[in-house]
Amino acid sequence: MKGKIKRISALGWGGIILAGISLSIPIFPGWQSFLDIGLANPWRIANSIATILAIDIFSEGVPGDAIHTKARITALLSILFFYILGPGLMILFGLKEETKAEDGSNKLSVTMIGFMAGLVITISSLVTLTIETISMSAVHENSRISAKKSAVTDEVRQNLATLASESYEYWVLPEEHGGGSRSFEGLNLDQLPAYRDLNGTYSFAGTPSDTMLSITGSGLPEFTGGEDSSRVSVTVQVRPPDDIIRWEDSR
Amino acid sequence: MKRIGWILGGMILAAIAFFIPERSGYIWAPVISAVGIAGLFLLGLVVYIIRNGKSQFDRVFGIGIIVLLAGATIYSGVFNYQKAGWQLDLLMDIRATIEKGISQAQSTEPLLLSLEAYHNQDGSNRKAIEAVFLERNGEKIRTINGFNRFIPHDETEEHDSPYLYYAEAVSSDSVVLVAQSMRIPGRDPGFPNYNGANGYMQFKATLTEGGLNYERQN
Repeated sequence: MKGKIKRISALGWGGIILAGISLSIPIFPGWQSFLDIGLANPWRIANSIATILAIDIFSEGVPGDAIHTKARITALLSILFFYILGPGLMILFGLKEETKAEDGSNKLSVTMIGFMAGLVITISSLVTLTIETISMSAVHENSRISAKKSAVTDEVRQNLATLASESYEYWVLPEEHGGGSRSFEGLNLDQLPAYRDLNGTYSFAGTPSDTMLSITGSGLPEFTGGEDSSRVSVTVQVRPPDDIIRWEDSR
Repeated sequence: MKRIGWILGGMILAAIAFFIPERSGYIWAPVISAVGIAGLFLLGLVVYIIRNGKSQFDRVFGIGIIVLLAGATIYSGVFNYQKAGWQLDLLMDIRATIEKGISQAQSTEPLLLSLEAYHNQDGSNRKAIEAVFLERNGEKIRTINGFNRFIPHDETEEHDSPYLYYAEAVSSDSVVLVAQSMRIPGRDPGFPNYNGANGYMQFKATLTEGGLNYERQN
């Protein structure tokens, strides 16, 4: 194998590396579609199909029955190329004794071509599996942060909806039932049963009046390390008798 | 020719390993199964290198490439598998949050507005709380498949989960609405749901003249 590696010129190595990378990353537009083998990371393909099924479950309750034939065939071809054809050609032909061409010329032998093809595919597999996954990890981390922030916002909104409903109930109920007899005056958060068990920080915005109550809720996603700029804040208004929940702009 | 035969044999075995669990429709099994066979092929190559390598360079270079490939495979495989699980969990959490919000909004709003109307009645000729509720919401109750479904005004009969049910109250002094998810599991898989199913998330809103009690049942 050492002899074959030495036989490849600097220009040859450049071509092999470029070909390997271009099989993984579409450097030349149309190259992969021309071959239509669509070599790609089989794990990412499996992840993509699993994501489609998850979206089906989200929207329909059950996974869809689409087979995703092309994606599955691409996954299989990629496994065969990346793990068997590439390393197989590289090792089996790389270690094979090379016989000189009968006419003594320096033409590439089948063994040498097989070894170089193996190198191209193996480089392609290493690039696809590592660089693509590293770049996806960065994107995934951003998605996780965004999802955590959304989850905190959703929880605060849900809690505010509960507090708004209980405040409205307080406004409606007469004094003999523990209510405010069509007024929010005298109401404080401790009187609302749900308040004790809620995550986040909640307060009345302004002074409760006969006709309107504003409640502000805020929460801090756990990833922020306490940075207040990441705090999510939502405000809801209760305007009886018709509006139980009216959302204001949130951040 | 023998070498081509080994490669073709490895490819055929990996393809068979891919297509056997493929019939199950679960995508990870075919990929893991085929990569498993490919791993055995790579292990065979390592043995071949140890036996036939002509120099230390051959062994270090050949085995090094295979180790790199194995490492990259584990890294990428674990990352993508975990990411797919995370995405499914996230989507189900989002769905659960949406259904909780819909359940609460669609069941408590008509009840609270009825409570307001009930306590705002004149002193004479006061109606019971159930009558007040039915007067305001009677047309939203439809019998579907033997159950009294509560269909909010902006929904059709084919509306999505959660389903709201108008439960027959024990007396005219109360009104009960049950909101049941048709797809989000609740806390107890054996919980008997209102529509006869088991284990789905369910909320119950009970209105009396003393106020509204909204609770999660499962």
